[in-house]
Amino acid sequence: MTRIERVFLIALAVAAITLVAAVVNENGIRAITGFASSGTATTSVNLLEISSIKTTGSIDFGSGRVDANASNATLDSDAGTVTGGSWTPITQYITVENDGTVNISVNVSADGNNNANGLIGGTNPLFQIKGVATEPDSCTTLQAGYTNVPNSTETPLALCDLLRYWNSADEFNISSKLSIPNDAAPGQRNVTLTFSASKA
Amino acid sequence: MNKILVFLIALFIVPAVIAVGVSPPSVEYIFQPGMSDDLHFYFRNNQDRDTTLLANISGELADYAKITSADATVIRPQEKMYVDLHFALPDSIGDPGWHSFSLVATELEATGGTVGARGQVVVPVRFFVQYPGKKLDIKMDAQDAGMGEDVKFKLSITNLGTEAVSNAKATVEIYKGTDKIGEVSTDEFPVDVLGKLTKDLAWNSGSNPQGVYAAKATLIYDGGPAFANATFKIGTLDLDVRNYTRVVGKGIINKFLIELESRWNRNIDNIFADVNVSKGGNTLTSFSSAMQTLGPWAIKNMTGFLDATGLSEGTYDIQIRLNFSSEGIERSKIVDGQIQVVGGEKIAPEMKANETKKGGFALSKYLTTINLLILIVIVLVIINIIILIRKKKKNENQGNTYI
Repeated sequence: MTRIERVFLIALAVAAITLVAAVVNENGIRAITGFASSGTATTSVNLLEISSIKTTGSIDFGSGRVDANASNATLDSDAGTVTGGSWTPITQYITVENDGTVNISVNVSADGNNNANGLIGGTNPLFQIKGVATEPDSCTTLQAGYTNVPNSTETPLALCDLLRYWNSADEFNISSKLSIPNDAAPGQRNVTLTFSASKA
Repeated sequence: MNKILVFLIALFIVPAVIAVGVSPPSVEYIFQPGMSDDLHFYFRNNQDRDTTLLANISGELADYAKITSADATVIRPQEKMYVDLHFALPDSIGDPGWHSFSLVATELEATGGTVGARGQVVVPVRFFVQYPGKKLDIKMDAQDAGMGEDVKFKLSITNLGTEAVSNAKATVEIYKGTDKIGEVSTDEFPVDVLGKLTKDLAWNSGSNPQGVYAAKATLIYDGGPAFANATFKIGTLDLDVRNYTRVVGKGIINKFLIELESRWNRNIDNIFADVNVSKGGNTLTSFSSAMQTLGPWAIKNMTGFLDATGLSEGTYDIQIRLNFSSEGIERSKIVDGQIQVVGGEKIAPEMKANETKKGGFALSKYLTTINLLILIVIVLVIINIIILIRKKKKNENQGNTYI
């Protein structure tokens, strides 16, 4: 056997093994062994009732300033737009997920005094959020229009009256909209939203 | 002042995921004067990092409860902890109905950012103060049905009072708009103190047409009536074409959507659409599309591809013929309309994104790892066979025996 014959035979063997590995990886061992994918057995299980909420991600608008000829700048993390300001447009969301075993309702409020006036200040500031559906039927009623964010002493905003717990309908996104007036004080702003879950 | 620099940034590196879970998710009691109890709540950390949970009590009856274990605890990854709580209520907590306090579990970390997030779970501990005397509550659930089938009503009746009810009777009236079209009733039945029971009723929809109907339940007993309302739908095995692609581009193959709405209270299966585009009665192009299943009352798009390579700009007649079935019953329906064929540059951007160029082939669809590996194996097998044949011929020419 010549060297080139050995090279092609080894290449064939490697490719064949890689192919088998790829098929197993994609379909699981059952796909090539005929392993039964169903069967009958008797078992007993106690599913613990648990209220649980998971929040993922944040919205970072970065730094910028209101344009010289604008009365305010508007930043929208859902539309991915900035008008009247130098901030870089972003499309970002916070994801809220029910990772428990019961349906929950979800309310939200900002920490401290961080409603629009407390967070931004100036003349007619705006700090709003809205729910963005990512899975069909996850919420019976989702607050899908931009709504003012209450601070920690105001009545929490009802975001979702019934967030289901099964995987195909257990989450939604939150986007934020800020309007920063040109007379807002300079400085860093950040706020934490507390997403409160209660069995629905 | 309009050149103010506003920083909307975070100060720290913060976790991307925040989660908090508590069990049980709620606790309920029938209020007894002076009652007290100890409760244990299970907190879990499903994350791969430590988490700090803060527990506190809030709500109307918060003054009567206190946490007896540590109220702030670091929970290790995949571990759990318990929060203990003790409450002792006075002899009276208010008017009949529900009263409560809540255990609130808040994760102290947040996701950070200009707008960050943290999770919080509120666990209500509720106490029901019974109504003096006789007080029944009724709730009703009405199920959708097909024409000629029974509409089933489920009545849930609870005695919220301090006295038993010996004779109660429920009647459900059915309305189409303001017209009463039917009525069904239960026999008389007793309801014990704190008793809960369900009563099932059925009303045959007969020949009443497809649509939305109202049901009004009245519970008559010697403490006074109670009421409940519900709506239900009577279905028929039918599909509505709510909308379809009205404008397509000339000279290309266009993605074509047909929005279907089910008027049936069961699954509709094996939905086939045959679409014909014609002018002056002459069919110019056609295509077919299929959908396996459409759920009860569901609205869903059916997708097909209309070849407009032979069509010039203008308005054309379109006919959508639908064939579908449910549980062995087959139906068909024809919808006529019009579409407009326009120059490619006039198509809306979202429609352009869905175009497939004439004669186009979505190669990327087939460029999977497995398909590439299969191709490589086939090529290598062919090369090895060629080498083998050549070697065999060479050996034969040399008069050798090849093994």
